[in-house]
Amino acid sequence: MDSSKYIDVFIEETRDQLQTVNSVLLSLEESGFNEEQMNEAFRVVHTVKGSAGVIGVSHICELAHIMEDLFDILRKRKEVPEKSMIQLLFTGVDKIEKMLTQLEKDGTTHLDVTELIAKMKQARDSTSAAAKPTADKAKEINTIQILPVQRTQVEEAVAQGKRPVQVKITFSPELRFREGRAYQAVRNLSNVGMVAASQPSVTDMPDDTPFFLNLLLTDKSDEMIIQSVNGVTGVALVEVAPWTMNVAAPATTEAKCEVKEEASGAEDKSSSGLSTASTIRVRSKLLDQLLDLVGEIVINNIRVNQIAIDLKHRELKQTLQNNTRLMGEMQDVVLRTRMVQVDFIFKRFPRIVRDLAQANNKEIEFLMRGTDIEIDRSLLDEIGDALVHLLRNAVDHGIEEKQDRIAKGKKPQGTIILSAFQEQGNVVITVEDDGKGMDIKKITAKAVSKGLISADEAERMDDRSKMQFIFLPGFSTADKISDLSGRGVGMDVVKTKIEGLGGTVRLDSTYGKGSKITLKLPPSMSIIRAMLVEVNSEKYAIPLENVRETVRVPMEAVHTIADNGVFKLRNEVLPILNIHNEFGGSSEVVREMPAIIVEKNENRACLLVSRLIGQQEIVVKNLGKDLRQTGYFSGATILGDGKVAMILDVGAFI
Amino acid sequence: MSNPKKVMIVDDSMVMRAMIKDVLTKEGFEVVGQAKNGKEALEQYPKLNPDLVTMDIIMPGEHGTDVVKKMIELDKDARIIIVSGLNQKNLVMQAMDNGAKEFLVKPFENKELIEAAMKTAR
Repeated sequence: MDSSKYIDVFIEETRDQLQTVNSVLLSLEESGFNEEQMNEAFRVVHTVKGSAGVIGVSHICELAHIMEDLFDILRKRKEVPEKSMIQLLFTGVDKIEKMLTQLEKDGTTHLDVTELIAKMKQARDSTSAAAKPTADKAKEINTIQILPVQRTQVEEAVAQGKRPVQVKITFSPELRFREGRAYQAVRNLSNVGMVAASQPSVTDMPDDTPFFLNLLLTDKSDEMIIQSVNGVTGVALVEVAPWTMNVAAPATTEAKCEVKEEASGAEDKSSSGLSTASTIRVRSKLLDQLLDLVGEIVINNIRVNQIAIDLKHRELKQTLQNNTRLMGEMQDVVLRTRMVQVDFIFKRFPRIVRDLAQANNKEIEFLMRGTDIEIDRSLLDEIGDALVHLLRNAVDHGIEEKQDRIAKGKKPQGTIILSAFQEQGNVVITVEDDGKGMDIKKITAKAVSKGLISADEAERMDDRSKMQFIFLPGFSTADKISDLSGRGVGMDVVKTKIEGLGGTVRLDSTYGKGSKITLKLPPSMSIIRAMLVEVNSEKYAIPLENVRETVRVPMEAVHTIADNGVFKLRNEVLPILNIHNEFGGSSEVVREMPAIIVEKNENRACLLVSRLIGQQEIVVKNLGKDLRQTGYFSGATILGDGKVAMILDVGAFI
Repeated sequence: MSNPKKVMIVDDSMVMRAMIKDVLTKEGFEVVGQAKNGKEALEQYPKLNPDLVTMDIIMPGEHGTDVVKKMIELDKDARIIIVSGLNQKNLVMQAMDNGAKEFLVKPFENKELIEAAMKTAR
């Protein structure tokens, strides 16, 4: 089998599964032992082991194998394990995650995990001896549990006069390949009724499974049932008992962590755990391609429309109008297929905050809101790191240590709230903490000492502007550099990233009370509204969010201050941007020029153009490295006439 | 024992065929035919009409799983024991779906083979 083509799927699936393990471990620490969850973690790690083996990633396979052993011991022990054990498993998850990243990057996993594996083996061997006496207890848990989805199936069967029975099949000792025997047994059971559930699952049965349980819906006698299975090689004992409904609660099957989540939508949360059955996994690359293709079709359609108009063919024009509407819908649907709930990445944050809080010896309650808000998948992937930065900052620099908080009359436990919500078509994500807030004086002093501004200038600046210093590269006010943040690469990276995606970053902070960072993101990276202009007979697009207004600039109204042209518009002096020279060709002397007042981050400028064309929806295409390096363009788009228009990165000019 | 049960052995390994033959003959089965691949097996089956077939899962040409399927098409009541290696568990399940009645995992003990044969033969 050629396994390489499954690597993408493996990486994505395993990442997902590791999140489950993380959640289970967190919950284990916070809310105590939960058998369902532990079984889930065991199952998941088992799957990771299996797939890693098939793909041929032996490091992950080995690590997952020993983790599986540990989970197996823990689930049978039925109690919260010691901290060191939980930490060991957390480390295991992290290592596998790292290896996945390597695998994704260069197709190898050269991380050394021998030491970790050795530690885990030691933990396994020392605990498994202790666990032996309690292992028998597992056998006492003898009732098969069904999922809520299976409930209907049972109810229907009962309505048809069938009875639900539990068939317990015990294997003879030393039997090899129990999976196969179980499979045989289930096949035989199917001759006398319907097997609604088997636990453990038949396709997931290690050779140390002593017995397995089946829920059989049947109208046959107990004797017939026993007879049907008794002939199977390796079956030592068959027991049939009446079965009563005992539905596993959805909350436990979902294995949610202790984090309080408040869904913002009206969607029924309880059903979301089950609706996964009607979703499929699609490689995001394919979705990108699909969106690209739809974009091309839309553009092509504009061209065809133009031809129809030129031909003056009425029927053709009408048909094309229908087409245009359908394509609009299609574009909409394709865009929606790319939407995922922010929970997709949010769910790994509780773990990060927990680790950080523990490392910093801080007590933190972490709340997440609006986890069901949807956002373009590619956008979400991009902002993950930025959010981690912000959360780290909040834990590291925001929340004070317990005694400091008490001294200040705050509650001992700090709070960090991560929220997502929708606002005017944008997705807004905020990170809020009730920690110490920004010390404007300290920030200003630092800015002065770094020579970013003079003391005089600082005096004239308002607090809001001063706070913006923390977004400058290399600016860090942390007195000591911690392991995780305070290296001065935090906030400017966040800002650059978010703005690169067409979003904005806003900082609000009150000294002593806390800080709030607001990220405003476009709903999709791929289609934006833009203003089309012409400069030196080339067309350019300017994202509409950067366009404040269009004006005409008479040349006599342009003044020169320190070699730079300025234009006064309603008491505001705006710098003139004349890109005619940069973009080839010389600017001919004209009496009046059209211009766009562009803005970004409250900075404005007056951009002179040759001609204004109008507003249009454009499909953003990414640029190759060379063009991106010029710094002038954030992307490109294809226009109705098939020509390419560059998208101006307004931030680069102001 | 008036009529010994007729057995056909399908295996590409001569050693395996010889071994299975020896064990079963001692137990009173009569090995009426041997085939070293699926094609031979399917040709011989209707003529020999055995009470039991042992079939290797991995053979040159068609896999045992597919041969099982075709054999069941020839004879709904064909009694087939599939013989697999340790790492062919998924194929075993597939063979059972296709109609194999029993399976053995190599390496197996003589008594496992005998028990399976007794249980499965017509």
